[in-house]
Amino acid sequence: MGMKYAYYPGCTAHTTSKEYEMSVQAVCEKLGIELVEVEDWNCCGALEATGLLLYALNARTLALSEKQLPDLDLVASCNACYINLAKTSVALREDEELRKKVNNIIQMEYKGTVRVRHILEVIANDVSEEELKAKIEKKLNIKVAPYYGCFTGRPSRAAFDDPDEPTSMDKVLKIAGAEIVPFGYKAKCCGGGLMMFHPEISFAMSRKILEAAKNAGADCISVACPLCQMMLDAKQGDIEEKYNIELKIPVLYFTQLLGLALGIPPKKLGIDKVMVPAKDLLAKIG
Amino acid sequence: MIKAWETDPNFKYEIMREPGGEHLLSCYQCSTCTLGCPIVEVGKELGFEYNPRKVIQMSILGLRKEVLSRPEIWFCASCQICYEWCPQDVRFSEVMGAIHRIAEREAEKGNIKIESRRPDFEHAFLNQVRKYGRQYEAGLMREFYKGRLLQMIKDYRKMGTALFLKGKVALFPDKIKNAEEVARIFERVEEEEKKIAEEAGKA
Repeated sequence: MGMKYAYYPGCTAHTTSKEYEMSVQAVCEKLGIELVEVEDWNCCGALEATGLLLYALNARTLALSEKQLPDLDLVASCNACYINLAKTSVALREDEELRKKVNNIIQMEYKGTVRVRHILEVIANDVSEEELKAKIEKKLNIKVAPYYGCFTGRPSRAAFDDPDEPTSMDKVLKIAGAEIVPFGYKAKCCGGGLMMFHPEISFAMSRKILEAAKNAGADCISVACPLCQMMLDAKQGDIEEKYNIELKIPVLYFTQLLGLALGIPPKKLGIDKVMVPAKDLLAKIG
Repeated sequence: MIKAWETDPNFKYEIMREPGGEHLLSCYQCSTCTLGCPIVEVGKELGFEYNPRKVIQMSILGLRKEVLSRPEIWFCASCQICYEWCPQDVRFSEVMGAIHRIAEREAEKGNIKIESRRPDFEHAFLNQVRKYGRQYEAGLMREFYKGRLLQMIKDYRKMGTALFLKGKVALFPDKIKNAEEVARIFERVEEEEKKIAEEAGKA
């Protein structure tokens, strides 16, 4: 198949977003995608590192990837990790002065050759439609509201999908047999970055997304980012309480949904690890 | 009312010297950023005024203390709508980052008071990365909630327990082999930023 990539799991892969990592690995194994983890990668800085620090932290990971796995694209599964690595790779590829400055800070010789990809884009584009269709064992037959978050499409200088009307997740889930509901909040910010210190703002933002999905008749929301998932899933109960509303809408990673369609057992996809119970959803899928 | 001679004409250059603030003067005040900003919308619901266009305008006019002390500047969610939609490539989300860094330096010197816990969270977060090379959530929470342990238990008892039972909590940090390399990166970036701040001070 020839689908081999350098892999950047990110800091929450074995903690808060364990089920995302489990489902990414399970799906990639089924699709023949080989992910080789970069050794000794460091944190991307999430939304806390800015400016020069952001570039330097990610340049170190890029330099390691370039050295250990030359000519391989670097794949990330978390939106924030993805955009930080992608922004850095674009900036250092375009600006030689900046690259020299950053190389001096990291004390490594990054040549600027690494291309950064998001696992969603790899599955949507590198796996052919025919091949994906052929591997589907059980059509999902549920209504899904695909939620892309901010960084799958913005800033478009570095990101891969359309900044206002992204479609990669729609495409993948349609092949998996899901019905995609019309959903005006697919790329509107969930406020996750503000959760720890201005939660009232995050709640106001995530509430809109949850209600929009529910009103559109979705059985569940599909995501591609651990922070978005936490806001919409783990915090859903708090949002219900704050606004005195009932939502009860499961929020799963797109790889979990795709995994179910590929016939991978729910346990292996970490379906039991999400906070809003997905038992009814599983029953509906059958 | 602010008097013209109380403004700081150097402030715009100070922002432009920071990584991320370079394109500030490209702004022609079209409001596109503000029309797209989700925080502006939430502000109308929750009763605060957040206006990216005005932040730029105030910065260019030299209203340094006003901009740096506004509590609303800490509400940016980094959603990149402003970056994406701006017809002039101002990259306001990056300008915001630059303004934050200037504000944090002023707060350290004791010149302004920051009314948001955001800088504390950023420090707690980055301190873990500095020590271990990767995030360590338990360490982050301990540091961020230092002196407020009861509040932490109140805020996170339910979710923390649920996460723990689902095997999603690491008790110990996942320290990388060459963590000192990361610590050194922080040191060198701090030196660079100090140089930038000194340059701005001289102008």
